[in-house]
Amino acid sequence: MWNLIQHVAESWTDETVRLCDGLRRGWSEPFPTWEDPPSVTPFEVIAEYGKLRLRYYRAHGSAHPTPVFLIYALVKRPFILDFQSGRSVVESLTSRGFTVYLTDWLPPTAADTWRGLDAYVNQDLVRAVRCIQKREATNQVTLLGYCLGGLLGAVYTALYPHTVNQYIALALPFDLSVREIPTYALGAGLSPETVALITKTYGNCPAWLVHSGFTAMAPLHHALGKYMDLYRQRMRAGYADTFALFERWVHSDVPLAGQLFHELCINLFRENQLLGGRLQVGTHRVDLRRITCPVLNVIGEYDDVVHPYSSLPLLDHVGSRDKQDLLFPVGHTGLAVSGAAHQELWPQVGRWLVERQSDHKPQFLR
Amino acid sequence: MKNHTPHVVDDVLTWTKTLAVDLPLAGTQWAFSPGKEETVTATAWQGYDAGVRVLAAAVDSLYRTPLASTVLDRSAAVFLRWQYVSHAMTGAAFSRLWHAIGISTAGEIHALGEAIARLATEIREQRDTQEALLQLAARLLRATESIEHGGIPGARFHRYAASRHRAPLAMKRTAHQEGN
Repeated sequence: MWNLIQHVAESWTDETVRLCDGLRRGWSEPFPTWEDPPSVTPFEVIAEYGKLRLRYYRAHGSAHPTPVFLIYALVKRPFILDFQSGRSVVESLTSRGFTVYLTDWLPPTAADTWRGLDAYVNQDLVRAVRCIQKREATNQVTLLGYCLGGLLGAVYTALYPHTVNQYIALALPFDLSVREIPTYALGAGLSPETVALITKTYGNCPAWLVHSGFTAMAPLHHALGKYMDLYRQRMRAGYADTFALFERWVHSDVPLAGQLFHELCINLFRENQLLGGRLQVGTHRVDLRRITCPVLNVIGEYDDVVHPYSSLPLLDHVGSRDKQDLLFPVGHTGLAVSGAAHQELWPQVGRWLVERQSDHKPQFLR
Repeated sequence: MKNHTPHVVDDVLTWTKTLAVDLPLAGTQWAFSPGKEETVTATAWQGYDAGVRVLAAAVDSLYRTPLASTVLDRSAAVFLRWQYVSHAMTGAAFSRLWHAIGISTAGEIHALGEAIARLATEIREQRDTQEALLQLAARLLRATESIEHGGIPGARFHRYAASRHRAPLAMKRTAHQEGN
């Protein structure tokens, strides 16, 4: 009886929506925009492909031959990677002589609901790498992907391994069957029908929903804890400024394209297709064994957004012989902005990159 | 890797002890001997930290229950269906109204913004091309000037010299034809 009522209600709502759709003119869901703070490291926008605006950061002094291509996540704005002087991944790399390119993902509009991994990887990233290759007169780039950007980078490297010299994963959400983080256990209960209803209702996954997901990971911290910490650290020089800037980044959520949201929730989160080798992007299956370049897997030991257990299995699935895990005792955003990370972690990353700039012979390090 | 298993029982005991014993004791000491406010503050923060850890553990436990997932799924589905219908109805009701009174819809304004962004990109590309052409022209001009001062290798000099003389020769032929 309940199923019958449900079925009737669903059919009625679908028909009503179809009727109203016929009367609508040009109504689209506006996406929220957020103006980035002034950049710490000067950059130049050199190209724009699809939903990707490519930024160029000049290296200090004589540049290393292989440029670094930073692939940022598709959630929130990318200025977390160029946060403050002394806490900037971009500044850290350029000061070590690396030419850096960074993805500035443009928020999707109502017309972009079709965009999935195929569009972001096989179109935007491919064209961006081609642009870098032409500009730098090189055949290969070093990829550094942060969080969801790391996932895009892994997929790209598996599909186009000949274009990647080295691959660095930063807090990569690889094994999404890990349910150590309680919010992941909660999210696992969402049915495919509910996920489909989100894209059906909004087209793209709205920014407020993305923000709600992140807030749900630590509701007490966001509601109370961070303000109490601000009070307790009030005498610490620079803490308030850093807090204000970090809050700006925390609230810089952007929508996720509808098809991408569906693939992330179902193909990756629910079915774990990337780890299982069953992920299809475009017409190709993503086989991580095709990644044979040197791989560095950087993991935050106290990461509460992407659990370390989720990132660790990466090296078991790539075909590289030169591969290494690098654990550091910080959280998810601490990898990019903490003072300790920039004093200890990023110099190590820089050394790892420099050692492999000209050495193309694979070395077994793990 | 460091173990993050919350010591919930310890935190509950700490929280309870702080509220029931430590804080009243510290408060009493502060009342009878001024200068003990730091002790009160430290004790209060200790209790706060323990309390936050207890609450966070409770929220985490709640997230892990199957009931929470089911409730979230069902309530999300109901909410989304309501949103789906209301979006359609408001769009249908107001889109004609906006056009009737001459107000552009959000979609039209957004499309305008995207067109402006595309135009800006085109202008930027054209400006870059123009700058590159100007630089090339400047280089050619400098090369031309150095030819005039004899600074160019032989072959290019001969070609340029030949082209330089074509115009005066043409002028001479014309002058001859006109009987000048």
